[in-house]
Amino acid sequence: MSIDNKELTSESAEKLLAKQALKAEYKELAIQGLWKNNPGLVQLLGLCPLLAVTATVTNALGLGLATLLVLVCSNATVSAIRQWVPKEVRIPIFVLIIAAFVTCVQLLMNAYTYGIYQSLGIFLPLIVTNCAIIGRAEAYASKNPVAQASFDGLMMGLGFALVLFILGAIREVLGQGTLFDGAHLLFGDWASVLRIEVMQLDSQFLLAILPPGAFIVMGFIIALKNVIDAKLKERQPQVTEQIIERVRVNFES
Amino acid sequence: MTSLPPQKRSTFRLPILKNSQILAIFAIVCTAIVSLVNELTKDKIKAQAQLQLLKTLHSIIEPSRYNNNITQDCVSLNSALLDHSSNNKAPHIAYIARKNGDAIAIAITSTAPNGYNGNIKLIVAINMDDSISGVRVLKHQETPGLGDKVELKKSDWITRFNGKQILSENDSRWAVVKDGGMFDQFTGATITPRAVVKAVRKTLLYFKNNKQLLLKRPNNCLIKDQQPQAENNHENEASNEH
Repeated sequence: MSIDNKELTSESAEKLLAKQALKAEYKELAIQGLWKNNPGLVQLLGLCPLLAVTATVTNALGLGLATLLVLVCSNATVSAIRQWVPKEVRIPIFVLIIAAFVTCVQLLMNAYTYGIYQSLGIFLPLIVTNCAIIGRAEAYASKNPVAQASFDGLMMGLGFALVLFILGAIREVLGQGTLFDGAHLLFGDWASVLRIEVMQLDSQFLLAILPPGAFIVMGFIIALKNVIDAKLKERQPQVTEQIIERVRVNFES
Repeated sequence: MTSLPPQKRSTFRLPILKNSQILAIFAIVCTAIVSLVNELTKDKIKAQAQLQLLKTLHSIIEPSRYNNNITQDCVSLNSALLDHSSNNKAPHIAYIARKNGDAIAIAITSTAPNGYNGNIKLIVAINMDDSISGVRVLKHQETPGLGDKVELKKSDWITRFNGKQILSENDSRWAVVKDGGMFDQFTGATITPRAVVKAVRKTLLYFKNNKQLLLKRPNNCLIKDQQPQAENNHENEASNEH
């Protein structure tokens, strides 16, 4: 009896420990994806579509959600097949998988959100070339279990979508004086009520809508993130042993 | 000395063989998935495109004025008058609106090749009495905030064409105000409206000279697997006899 109990407790303790470790890993993944290693702000990957389509919040959300979906699916698939993929041909296989998912998402968006499909134009198929996706497949998904890999994809995708959303919101307010203009193209007719007239502009602030405006706003957002990081560091002076790391695309390099 | 032992050779070859097999399998599976999704969404995409087209056509020809299935009643045309750009060989399409079989208006797609930033694609609906029923820009890459006022979403400029007629081949009113015509240009953008006015004018002239011919062409837009199949096929045969 007593031995049994002991075994049980040690087993449950082990389980608890494993659970805690898993929890910590998920938390770390969330922090990495949303803030510390954000694909848009820190890794600076996939900037071409990020800067090109964020003239309105609706477009930004459309591309963000499409990228999120592709990222989760490709991470899950890459992780699921990681035992069967030889090291030498992994990159072409990852590209194949990503391209297949992007094409599927493109077809689905064409069928169900036609308006947004048209306004995203070439940038929807260009998700294939978004380095953030193959970066996650190579750096994380190909070495970790499906659940964690999917979660990593979700967090990275959310981080990317968040940056798109913020950039889109700032540019739309500055350029057109509205928010969620054309949201019905993405979510259906009920979403027309989401449209907000923030301010009445006599003449549009052109720079915000054009690509150079995107670069400038992006620069300010990155600067803001750095300021917040610096403030956070100031508040916690006791963690002095923290090593300053380079920006990592790959967790190993 | 001269050649490698056979086992060593096979260890060189085997991974290549294995890798290419795996790669081929993945390629086949991915292609299969994409074709499956394509098959599943094909009809929906076609329906969406038709719906979009119908919406545009409705906005330029009052839906109560006609009662045929306009998206499936069209002829394709290849005229130098409608398109001067050499790199765009896609045929233009004319959609015919009929009330009880009589044509009441025709919507013709047209291209303005001399926009500020490339081609501007338009659709121009013209009543049978040669007056404009409506014009819409389908696709353009004009400067946001300046040239994009040709979109109805940004400005109602494009509606000024409604009801306008052309008197002769060189009607001087068909130009922007700056060139002595009757259409306003935009502040800071003259090239875009100039291009649009010119394209609409050309389309109108083409229509004036060819409207009877247009009605005699065979129908190009039938969708075979739709309900009014028999009727449409019959119409098609009838128009083929001309």
